[in-house]
Amino acid sequence: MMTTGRRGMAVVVVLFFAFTVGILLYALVGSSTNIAFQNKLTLRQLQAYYLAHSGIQHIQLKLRLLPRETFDAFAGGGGGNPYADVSSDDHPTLLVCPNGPFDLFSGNPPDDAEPIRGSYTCTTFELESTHKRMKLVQDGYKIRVVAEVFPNFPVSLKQKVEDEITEEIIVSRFTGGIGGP
Amino acid sequence: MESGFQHRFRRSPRLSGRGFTVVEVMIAFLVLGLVLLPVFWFLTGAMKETEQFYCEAVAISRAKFVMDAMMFQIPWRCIRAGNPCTFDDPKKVPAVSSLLAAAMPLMFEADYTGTAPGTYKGEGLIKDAKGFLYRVRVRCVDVENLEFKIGGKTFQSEELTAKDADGNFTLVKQLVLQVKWSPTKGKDPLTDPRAKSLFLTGYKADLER
Repeated sequence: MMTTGRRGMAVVVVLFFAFTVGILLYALVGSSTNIAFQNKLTLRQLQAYYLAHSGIQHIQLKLRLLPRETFDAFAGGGGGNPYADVSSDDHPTLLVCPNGPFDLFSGNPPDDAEPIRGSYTCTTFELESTHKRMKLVQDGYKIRVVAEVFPNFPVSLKQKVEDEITEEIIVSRFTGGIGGP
Repeated sequence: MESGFQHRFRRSPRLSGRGFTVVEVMIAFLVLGLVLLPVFWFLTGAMKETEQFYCEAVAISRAKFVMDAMMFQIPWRCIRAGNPCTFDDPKKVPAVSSLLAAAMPLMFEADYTGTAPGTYKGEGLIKDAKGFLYRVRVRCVDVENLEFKIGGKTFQSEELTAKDADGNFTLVKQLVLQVKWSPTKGKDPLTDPRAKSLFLTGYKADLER
């Protein structure tokens, strides 16, 4: 009677063992997939970071070249963002968009071709302060740049990665010299 | 009457039939083998994958280092257009030449020497601690005809700056970096059809003049 009762135990033990191994496999596959995803995400975040800094440098350049005009845009009472044109999508020569296969080592891809789809945009540009008492007239601006990377372009715009940088810049209104906050 | 010895070693009726037959043991081993086979197969694959992830991480790390150096450390005027780009200082400032001489081996390790003394190519060959090889190359494109709009006016680059060392009214340069590596140890990625690549791109503005 005891022997008959234990016959089913073998199946239970084997099933339990198989289940345990299955769980182990699932955990290993999950772990491996996670590392692959993290590497991809790191690269996309890095790309968004450099595009955001590209936008910051674009703003700094414009501010250095046109400091008085920038202040006048605010002094004239004009609302909105006078630096809205600081956007890679608004300039054909700054557009970051793939155009076929891209490999720097085999041939020379066209100058207007990039390996990825991304963009940067100045979303905020505000006059924060003006210092007139000093010998140099200085204006303080608060800027915000948003960068986006679309890893699945052109198939899909989903899973985009964003980065944003907010900075305060002080610029000499007449020389264009830039200092920190 | 049984002796004490006979009583001690007589098989208990409760224990009879508890053993396994050879067939059962063989089936058990077969099941065990079938279950463990994919585990070992997966572990072998996982080891290879780990090396691939390692290569990818090394490539990302290198790409970040090179891109950081170009975006934030190396002067704008020293990055000259081309694929690969070239690095040299048109003003020949000794401190900048020293910076380039120190930065290039850190960025590209080998095969970066230019045609003239003090000039460097924007490419290199890198070998990691495990023996995998990576090719790095940077393309630089002068962004032409950039406009700046403000207060209803549009300014062209020509109105805002003088010509640079290459005779252009360039204010922004596009940098594209590619790191290419082979998943096989010691193999040059340029000769490996299974080689993988990653890219980074950015714009560097002339904030020096």
